Amino acid sequence: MAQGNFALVPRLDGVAIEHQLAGEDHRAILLSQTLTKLEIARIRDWEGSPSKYLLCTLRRWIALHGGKSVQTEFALDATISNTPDRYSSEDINPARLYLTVDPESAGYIVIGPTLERLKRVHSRLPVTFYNLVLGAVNRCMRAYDYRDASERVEMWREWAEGEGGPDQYEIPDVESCIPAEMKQEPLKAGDLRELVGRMQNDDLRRLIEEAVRLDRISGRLQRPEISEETREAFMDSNPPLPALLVSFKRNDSISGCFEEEGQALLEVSPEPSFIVEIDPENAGSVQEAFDALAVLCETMAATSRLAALLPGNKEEG
Amino acid sequence: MRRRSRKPKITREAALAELALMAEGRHPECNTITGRFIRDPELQQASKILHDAIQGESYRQPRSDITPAPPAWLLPA
Repeated sequence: MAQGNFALVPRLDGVAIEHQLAGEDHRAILLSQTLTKLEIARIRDWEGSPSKYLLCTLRRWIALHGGKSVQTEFALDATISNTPDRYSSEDINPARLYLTVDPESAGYIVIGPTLERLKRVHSRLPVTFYNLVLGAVNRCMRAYDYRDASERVEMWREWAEGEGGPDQYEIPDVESCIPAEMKQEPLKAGDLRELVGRMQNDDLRRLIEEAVRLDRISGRLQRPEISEETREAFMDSNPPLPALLVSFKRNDSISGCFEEEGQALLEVSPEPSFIVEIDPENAGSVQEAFDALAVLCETMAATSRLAALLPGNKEEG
Repeated sequence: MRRRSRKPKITREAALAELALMAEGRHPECNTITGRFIRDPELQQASKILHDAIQGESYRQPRSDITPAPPAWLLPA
C-alpha cells in the first residue's frame, strides 16, 4: 500500500467517521434470558435492550416487595453489576454478575420512648422487642446501635491510653445512655406469646406483633454463600455502611458516635451491605438472588412500617 | 378519551428468540461495524497493532519528514 519512508491510510469514503454503540454485556443478555424464562421479568418491559430490561425488572421486583414502604424510612440503592465493588471497575470474574444493595444514607429510629412503655408491661419486654427488631434488620443490612458505639468508645479509650490518658479527651459516655432493662435476659418465644395474649394495651400489643412479624419475614432470608474470590476483593475494605441508626434518645451519645464515625466511613471503600453473586445462566442462582432481594425489601418495608408506629420516634428535640 | 398505546405487543417467544440471537452474536445489531468490533478480539488486536505502528512511526519521524499525502489519502492523526 504505502511506499517509501512514510505511512498512509486509505480514505474511508462514504464510511461514517464516528461509530457509537452502547455495548451490551454478554452476561446481561444471559440474565435477561433467565429472568424471562423464570417469569421474574415481564415481557411488556422488553424494548430490545437487555440492560434496560434488567433495570425495569429490578425496579418492578423491588416495587412488588414493598419498595414504596422501604422509601419512607430508607434510601437504598440496588444494583446488578459486573463488579462486586461499586467503587472499582475491576471485573474479577467474566462469568458472574453481582446483585448489591447499599444505603445512600441511614434511617433513624429513636427507640427509648417505646422501651419505656414496654417496661411498664414487663421488665424483660424492652430487650425482647429490641432484639427482635435489630436482629431482623441486621440479617439483611447493617444497623448501627449502642453496641457499635460502645466498641468505638473502647477503641478511643485504648488510643487515648497511649496519648496522655482518657481524661485528656472528651470521650462520649455511651454506657449511661443504655437503659438498665437492656441488660435483662430476653423472653423466650413461648413466654412472649403468652404475655402478648394477656396484654391490655392494644397499641403496645400491635408493636410486639409487628416486631414478631418483622423477625419472621427477615428469618426467611437465605443469603447464598459468597465465593472466596469475591471475599478477597473486600479484604482491605471498611465495614458495610449502616442502613439504620438506632439510639435511645434523639441526639444522645450513640448518635454522636455515629456522626463521628460517619466522617471516616468512606475514607476506604466499604464492603457492600448486601451482596449476592449471580451465575446469569443458572436459573437456580438467579432465582436465589431475586428471592433474597425480595426478603430484604420486605424486611426493610416492615421495619419502615414499624418505625412509623413507635411512640416518640418522629418527635423533634 | 384515553389514547391507545401504539406499542406493538411482543410475545415471550419473540423476546426469547431476540435474546438468543444476541447471545449468539447473530442479532442485526451485532453485525454493525462496531458490533463486530466489540465481539471480535482479532479485529481489536489488528486495530491495536495498526494504531501502535502509526503512533511509533510518528514518534520516530519528525512531522516535516512525512511526505505530503496525495489527494484522496488521509494522513494518520
